Amino acid sequence: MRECGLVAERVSAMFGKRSVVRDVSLTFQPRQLHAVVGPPQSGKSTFLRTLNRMHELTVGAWMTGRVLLDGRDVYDPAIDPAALRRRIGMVLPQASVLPGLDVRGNIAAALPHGLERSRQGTEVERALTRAGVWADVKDRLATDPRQLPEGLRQRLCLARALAAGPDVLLLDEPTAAIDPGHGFKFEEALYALRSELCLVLVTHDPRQAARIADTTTLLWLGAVVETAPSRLFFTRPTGTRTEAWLTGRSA
Amino acid sequence: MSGPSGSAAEEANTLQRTDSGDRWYRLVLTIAVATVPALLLVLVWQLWRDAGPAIDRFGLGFILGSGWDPVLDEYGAGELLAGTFLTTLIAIVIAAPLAIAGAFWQEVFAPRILRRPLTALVDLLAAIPGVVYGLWGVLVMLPWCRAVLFPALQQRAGWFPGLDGIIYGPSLLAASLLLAVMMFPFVLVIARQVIHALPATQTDAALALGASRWEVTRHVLFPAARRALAGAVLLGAGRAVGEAIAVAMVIGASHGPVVSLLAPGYTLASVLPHEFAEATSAVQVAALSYATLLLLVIAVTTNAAARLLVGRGAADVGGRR
Amino acid sequence: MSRPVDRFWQGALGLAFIVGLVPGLLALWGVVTHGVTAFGTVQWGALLPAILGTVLLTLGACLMAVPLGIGAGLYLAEYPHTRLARLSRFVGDVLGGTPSIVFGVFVWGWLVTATGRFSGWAGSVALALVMLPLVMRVTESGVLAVPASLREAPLVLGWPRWRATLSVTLRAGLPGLSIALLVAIARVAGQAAPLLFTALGNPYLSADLGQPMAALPLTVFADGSAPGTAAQDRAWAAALLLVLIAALLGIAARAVARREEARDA
Repeated sequence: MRECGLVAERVSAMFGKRSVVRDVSLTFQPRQLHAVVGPPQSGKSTFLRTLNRMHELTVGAWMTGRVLLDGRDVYDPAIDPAALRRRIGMVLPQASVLPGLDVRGNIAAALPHGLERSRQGTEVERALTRAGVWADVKDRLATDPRQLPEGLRQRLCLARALAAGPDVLLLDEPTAAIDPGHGFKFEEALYALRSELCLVLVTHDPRQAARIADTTTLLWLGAVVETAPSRLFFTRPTGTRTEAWLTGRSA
Repeated sequence: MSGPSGSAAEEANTLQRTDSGDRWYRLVLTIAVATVPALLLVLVWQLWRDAGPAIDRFGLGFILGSGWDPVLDEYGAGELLAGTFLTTLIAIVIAAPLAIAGAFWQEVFAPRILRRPLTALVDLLAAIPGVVYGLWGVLVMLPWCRAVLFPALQQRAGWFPGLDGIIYGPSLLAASLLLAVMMFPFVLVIARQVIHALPATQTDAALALGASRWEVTRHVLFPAARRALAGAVLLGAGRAVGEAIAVAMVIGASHGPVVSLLAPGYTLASVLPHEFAEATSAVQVAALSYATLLLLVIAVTTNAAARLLVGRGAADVGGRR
Repeated sequence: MSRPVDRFWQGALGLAFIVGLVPGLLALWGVVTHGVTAFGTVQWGALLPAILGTVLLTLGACLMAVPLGIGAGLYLAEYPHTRLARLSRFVGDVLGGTPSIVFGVFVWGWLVTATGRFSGWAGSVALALVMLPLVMRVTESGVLAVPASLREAPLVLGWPRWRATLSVTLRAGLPGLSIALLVAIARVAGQAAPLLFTALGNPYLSADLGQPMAALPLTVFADGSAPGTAAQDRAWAAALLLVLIAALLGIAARAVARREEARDA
């Protein structure tokens, strides 16, 4: 397992003429969970999507700056964006079910092409276990995921993302749309994954960051306001803006 | 669960650029989409070429020129245009108000249990091919018109310009009526989709304030839908302009100045099924192609104007949203 | 609904609905009654060429229009802001508003005069022109209707674009696409105008698309104006068959729609 870190150097992201992320420089250490928090429309998701080159898929979207995976610029023309996204995985805010596939098929779809069927079963189980959801679905691998509750589906999306074998996992508001029960189980899985991956979590819920993140960054209007180990961030914020956002008395 | 060997996926992951097939994908799709403007180009060019002799001979005067004489090889589309205009106008005047009223009734006032069956029924009527309406028109509607409707019309309203003259049966009026029968379900379906697509927020707000369903219809739905409904009517008109078969079967196929609605006549579209197959001279074929070009321009303009009013959503056939 | 104003307008608008509906219902009723009688008396052998012809011509049109239309629609959905996309969308609307007889005259001038003969192929091409704008538009809107999370899900797994669109997006949009295709097929099967100068019609049973070909709408048109009860029987029978096709395909489309609604709920 590689020790893979992600570094954003002066990343700015634009939609046409509108600047949404301004000059963000952050370092995401491997084997840690990094939270990026902030009010709505602060550019958190847009920033996250520059890390795995999803941002550029939107018509009119562009960015400046560098994103380094293990020291290599991911925007290098020699790099295949699709291959990059196998190294930097992502969990989207809404759970999605690949049509026509059962639970096992949905997870297996993320495995590399041409894997022998015998290994597929093991890999699927491994991904589901890492996502903390194996016990819940091991008797239901052949069911249609659309019949499962949304929270369970989102945890399956986590397993699917893990099945692709990424070194870095990006999570865009993964628990915002699901019930708290499944949300907490999701957080438990993320907490456990810290020992294996570099995780970058975008969330609007500061308490979630306080619960599971090693470092927390506050993004405001597209720029970094403060970034610190979570302990310090939540107990002794250095910026007035940070404190204002934490306590709810807005600036 | 980290081990020295890692998972199968991690073994396979390198970052090199591989030919992922996306280039072929885009190429195939580009070829497919490029055929669309190419086809239109070929269509216009072909029609222009076929119409050449007639364009050379009659020029722009053909458009409003009167007289269509295969014997003398003198052609003018003016009477055809008049026929198209009259039949479409009468059909729309009859069918459009009924269709719009009916659409509002279906969407706002109709009892719940009736909605699905009535929708299915209207959809079926709209899906019946023009040639079937034409058959019913010539074998059932025409005899009835000749025996009952037209004499009655002449008796009661003979003073109305255009309702005098000998009653043959096949006539401009018969074509107009048949077009109206066909246009009603067509316009209704589109109008219904337009009303259905209106956002519910204003309606809900009005109802919460205690407005009656009629007040909601008149003060909320209708003003919001007005433009799109006008577009729906225009779409119906465009369809009527282009209807060749049904009209050809009941219009009587006769050239000459438009004197009476009860007399047989021709429209731009319906002259083609009758004359194209038996055209004797090259000039006649060219004139018919010229008329086809004209028809194309009129129908496309009408539809384009309609689309501007409706927007692209409501007129999708079978589109699920 | 208790207010008298509502009651009045419910009556008035309902009356308008009925007044508009009745003639259409009379037409439908006329076709059904005459058609059912004709089913009993008609020589089915005489109708067989038309039935086979309609099947073959419609099939031919689908073979041409469906792949092209889906490909074009996918391009419009994937690369919407290119000049080619904007042009094709506009042209698609133009072609969609073109009267079908124009296609008949065009294909006559293009293929029939060039090959020197009327043929089923020419007829299929003319029908395909009627179908193409529809398929293209429906594919585009079907793809765009798939939620963004589903469209992106395969991409964040590292799938290439073509695999993502074909395996996931198109698959997800399949129900809507099938419904629209059923409706389009019903529409095309009933078209007489494009076939008049292309397939022309054929009294003999023939599966040869290189020769003139019969079709149900052509039978309705030609035999409807011909004298004699035998001809009229054929016309009514053919007309009823066309109505049945439209009705059955409409029912099928509605069934697919209902099944999708139930599954999403």
